[in-house]
Amino acid sequence: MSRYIARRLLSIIPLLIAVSIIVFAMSKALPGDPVEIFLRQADISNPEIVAAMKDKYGLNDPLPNQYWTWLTLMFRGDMGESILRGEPVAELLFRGMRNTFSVATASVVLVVVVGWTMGVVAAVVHNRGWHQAITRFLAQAPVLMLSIPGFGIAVFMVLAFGVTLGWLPTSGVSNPRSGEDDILDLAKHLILPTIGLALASVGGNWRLARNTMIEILREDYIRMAHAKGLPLWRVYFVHGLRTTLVPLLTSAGLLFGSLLTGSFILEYIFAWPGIGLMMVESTVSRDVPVVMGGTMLIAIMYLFINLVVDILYAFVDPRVRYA
Amino acid sequence: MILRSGAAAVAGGVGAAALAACGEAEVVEKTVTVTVTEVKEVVKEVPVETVVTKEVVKEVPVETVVTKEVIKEVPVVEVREVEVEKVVTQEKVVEVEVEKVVTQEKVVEVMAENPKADSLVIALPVTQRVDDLDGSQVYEFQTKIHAFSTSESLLLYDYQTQTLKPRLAESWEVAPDATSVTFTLREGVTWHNGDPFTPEDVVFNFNRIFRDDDPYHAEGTFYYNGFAQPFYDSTEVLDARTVRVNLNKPDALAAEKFGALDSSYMAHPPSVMEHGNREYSTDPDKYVGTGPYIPVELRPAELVRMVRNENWWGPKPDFDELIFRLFPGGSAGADARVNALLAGEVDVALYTPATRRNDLFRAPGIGAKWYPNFVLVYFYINHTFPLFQDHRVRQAVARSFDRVSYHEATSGPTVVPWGRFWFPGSPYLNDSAELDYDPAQVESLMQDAGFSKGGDGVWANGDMRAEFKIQYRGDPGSPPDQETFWMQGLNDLGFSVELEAWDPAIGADFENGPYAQQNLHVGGWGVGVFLGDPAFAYQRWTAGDDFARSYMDNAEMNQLYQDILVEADAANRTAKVHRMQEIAAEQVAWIPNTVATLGAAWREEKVTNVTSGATQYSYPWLYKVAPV
Amino acid sequence: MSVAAATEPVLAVRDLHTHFFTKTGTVRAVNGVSFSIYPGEIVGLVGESGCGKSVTAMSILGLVDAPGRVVNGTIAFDGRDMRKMSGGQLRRVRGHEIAMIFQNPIGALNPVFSVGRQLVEAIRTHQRVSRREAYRQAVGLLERVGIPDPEQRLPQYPHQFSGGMAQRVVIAMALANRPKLLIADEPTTALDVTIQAQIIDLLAELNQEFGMAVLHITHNMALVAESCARTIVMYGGKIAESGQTDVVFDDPKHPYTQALLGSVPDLDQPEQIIDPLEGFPPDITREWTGCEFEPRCSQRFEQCSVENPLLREVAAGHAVRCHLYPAAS
Repeated sequence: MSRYIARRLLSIIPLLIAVSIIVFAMSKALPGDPVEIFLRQADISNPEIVAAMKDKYGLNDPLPNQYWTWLTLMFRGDMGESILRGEPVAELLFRGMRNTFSVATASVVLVVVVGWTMGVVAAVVHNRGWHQAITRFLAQAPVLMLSIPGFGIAVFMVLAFGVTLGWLPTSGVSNPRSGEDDILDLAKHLILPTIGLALASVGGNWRLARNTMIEILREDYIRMAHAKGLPLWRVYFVHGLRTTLVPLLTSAGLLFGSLLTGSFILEYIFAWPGIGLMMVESTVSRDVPVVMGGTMLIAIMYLFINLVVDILYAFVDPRVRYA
Repeated sequence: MILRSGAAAVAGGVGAAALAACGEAEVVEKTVTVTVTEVKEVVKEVPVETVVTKEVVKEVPVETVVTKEVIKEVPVVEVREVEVEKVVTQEKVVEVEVEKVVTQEKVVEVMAENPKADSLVIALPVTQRVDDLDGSQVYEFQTKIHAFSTSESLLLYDYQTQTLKPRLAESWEVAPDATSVTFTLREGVTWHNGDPFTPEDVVFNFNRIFRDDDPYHAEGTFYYNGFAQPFYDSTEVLDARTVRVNLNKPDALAAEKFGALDSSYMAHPPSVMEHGNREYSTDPDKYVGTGPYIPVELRPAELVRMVRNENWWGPKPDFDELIFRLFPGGSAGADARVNALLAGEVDVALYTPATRRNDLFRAPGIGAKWYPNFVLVYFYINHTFPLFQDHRVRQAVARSFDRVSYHEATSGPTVVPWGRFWFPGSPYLNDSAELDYDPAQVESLMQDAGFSKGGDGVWANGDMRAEFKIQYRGDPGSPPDQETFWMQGLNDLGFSVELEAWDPAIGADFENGPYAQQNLHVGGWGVGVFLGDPAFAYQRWTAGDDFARSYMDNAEMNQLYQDILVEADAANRTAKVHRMQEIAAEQVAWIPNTVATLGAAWREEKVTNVTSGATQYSYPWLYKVAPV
Repeated sequence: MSVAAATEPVLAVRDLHTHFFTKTGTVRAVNGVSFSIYPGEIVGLVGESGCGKSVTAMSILGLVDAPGRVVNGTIAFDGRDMRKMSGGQLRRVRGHEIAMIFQNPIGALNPVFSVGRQLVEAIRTHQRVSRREAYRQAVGLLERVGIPDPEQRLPQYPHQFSGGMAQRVVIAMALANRPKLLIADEPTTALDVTIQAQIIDLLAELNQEFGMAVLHITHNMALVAESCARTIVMYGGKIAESGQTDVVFDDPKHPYTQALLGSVPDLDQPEQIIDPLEGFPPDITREWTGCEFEPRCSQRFEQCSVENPLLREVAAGHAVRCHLYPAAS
């Protein structure tokens, strides 16, 4: 197992190098000179200021030098300073990533708790031949969830539960009158964004869990488990669920990875200061250090999540471990 | 006495002008001088605990729990502030009062005097660096409002009257040759920690802001100080209350630039030297300013919380506490700010979007207004394009845009249609220099220029047909409504006009993009104005300026522009500026369209008016508590 | 072998009907099947795929999946009616008194659990023993079914086993609680021919050693001939013929049985032309007025398309469902 993990870890290194080259090339290919765009926003056209700023951000050096400087600094945790915001990129990204992480985690928890549970329940209900109405509802509800766009639901929920009913906060990560580490307050602020972000994925995972589990409940080893006289819960939740977990884990891992890149639309609606909003704003305004640092960070997180999924995968499915 | 009237002038001037600008004259006469005296008395008489008790009576006890939390966090500041200790004692009182609520009727009456003065939550958009408390280091273009409540400049530029007002300095004088400016400092100003504010502090700050080689040079001011830095030579202390800034070349606007520029904010020298610029500006515990509020908490991208500075030199600010809730800037967060206001999560929302105007106007208990912002929106017209080489044709094109009808139909009260060359209410505005919509004049201008309508109804003069393109940056499939409307108006008046889309990504490419001389016919642009500096905007009308996309070259205009840069006498400068506007109207330096607006909305139970929304920057300490 | 007939049957199935209620109609997978199995006896249940033999087995254990349901009949196991048992009672019978093994041994083992864990689970479900004791028993079981190095093999996962070895594991699991009846559903179909023989031999040995009855379900007549005392031939959800294996094989009465036997290649006579059965299994979504085999029968006559024949005894212990054999006197 440790050899497996070491192998997977090593396999990430060339990927990271490739990503860093792509990110660097991308930043150079962006149309428009970041400094000039930035200064035009400020209505400054003094060429001396432009030159001084370019010099400050090292934009006059040869490309390989720029790449090497960027790479070495980045590995020391120094991703430079945001042109737009004047803040260290690492601090900015940490802040954005922290907020994105909380809502991504809550979404995955929602997907696992609701999506998987309902999927498994739906499969069991199907398997035990319950009444058509229940079986069909449990099969169709996730399709409905999948077909409603998350941002539509989000806007509706804000107006209904926030503005009209006043049950939940309309936006932001905290109530300014609450303390900084008020988990309950954070939880309250997480509810609507999480639902908006995760609803479709809940539907998707529900359906995936249902379909996978139905397939698996047709397997011989499930008949075998029944024939061994195992209690039903053992058949469904030990023998059935454990194998169902293999594709579900992959799905949730990929979901988590993609959620960590931030959802611009949801962050936009909920004024959620996450990485998605930050990356879009930075890209539009050509805040290159943030775009580069952010892209690298997202790529690293994504690769890391993939690694974790692979390892979990190996834990859950011995066939992978010995492959 | 002099101190107070100075401050009152600031408050009254800004507030009154804000209302006047929007055509509501009723409230204009409100005098603030009286209020100042009253407020001071209140401070001395009202014990801290009564304010709190009132809250208890009026609001549900649950609220008091929240207040307790606040108190627990405050002791962080106790080292610095005497007031903070008072706050701590408040808490004990609160706990007692909760139990006695019903019996203490007398107390209730006392408190009814000043009902909701406790705290004000302001929704603020932040697109850029958010965690600054020091005004001189703020990066934000428009929304550094929180820093302007904790730190101050020597002077305050009042965008409504477009004049300078006293602030940390109570008077100023620009030398007749415009090579220096002298500031006389206000007496009795102290820093938050009790240190007196001295001329030496000014010297330290000006060197710090305008000298790249200063060990404490403030990086965040990179582009704001860019306006003044080229003129800066040195600062010297003349006496215990006077400093003089010496320039290395004349600048008629030296008082504005050094007194009120957004980077010219005063930081506490010992604190900056001890902690460095960055920590000083981002850690409430290390920050020491002079402003009307003292920061106590800062959560990046979430909030800035500050409490009233009881020793501020100006009139007592209305609120015990200001909380700035930070929202994403730009259009992101705009809806969220409105939602938060409607849901009662915030008391004031700034930069409210025009798209939500109906929600805000209809909501009960919500006041909303769109104030003129100091950005002129206009179209460039390329003087070197063959058809446009005759100024009468340019005038005819300019007078074909019925901006009033268009904006009334589309934007309603959130936009100010504007056919002139300077801002409403300004002494610089020459009202006779206009390019208003006038179809009859379009007809006669074209005829004067030798054009007549051909068989197809299009003006022509020999081989030259009145044919051109209105250019915009965006998707070819969905042209902007405004350009389409104007195009139709022009076509109705005998022009043959088409729209032309340009990729936004190359819009800023001035060599080959839509604004390049060989490509430009007519296209949109806008200009922001810093400090109401006319020179800054009028630079656009001179030959050779990087942003002068009309390619206008008028010798008189060029000369006038050079003159106003060094014209220290206000009356003379105004006269020259008026002349420039006349030339601009005759030659069509650009085609004015609108003055941009900024929206603000507030809960009427909390504040009577958000006067500050009328300025490009907002000063929340001027917000008034709603009368009971 | 007929000794067994004297005692009480361990399993007595009477008039079993198991139907599947699908959208396209009711599939009468098992449509009136009756048979008995006596202690220590090996009975072969043969027929083409889809004839209802596997469903019969699943019906016995109460493991028919939705939309299938046992609609009629009694299944008496050891004198108790399985159909009247509660879920809990059924589960105490399954894997304990009646065990089952499957066609695809790899598929019958859960791929994500070690073989040892699954064996221990089988033991501990029905016996109150410690994990350690169960593990010890598991080692013994693997040894007994002929798996070398059982201690090494227990922590391994099913995909690390060959088909034959996996089937031995499955058999070990079935034996874990010394069942009275073992239902072996095509236990060798997925295995190599050489392995097939080993498994059949193993089953026979265990039958001798533990005295458990075996219901051996297969489509392979040769295997039945080799190992089973009695043979039941199913066709279209019904029993076509049943009797002592030697009788049925020496003197098949039903044309279907005859055709089945004709399609078994005889190793002794390689030159013999195999005569495969033509046509397809019957459509069992409809109620047949005549004989289900009539469309494919080479000996059909008028009555066959009009009347569904009854299972009649043509000799002691030898029953046939065919109009060719009217009731014996």
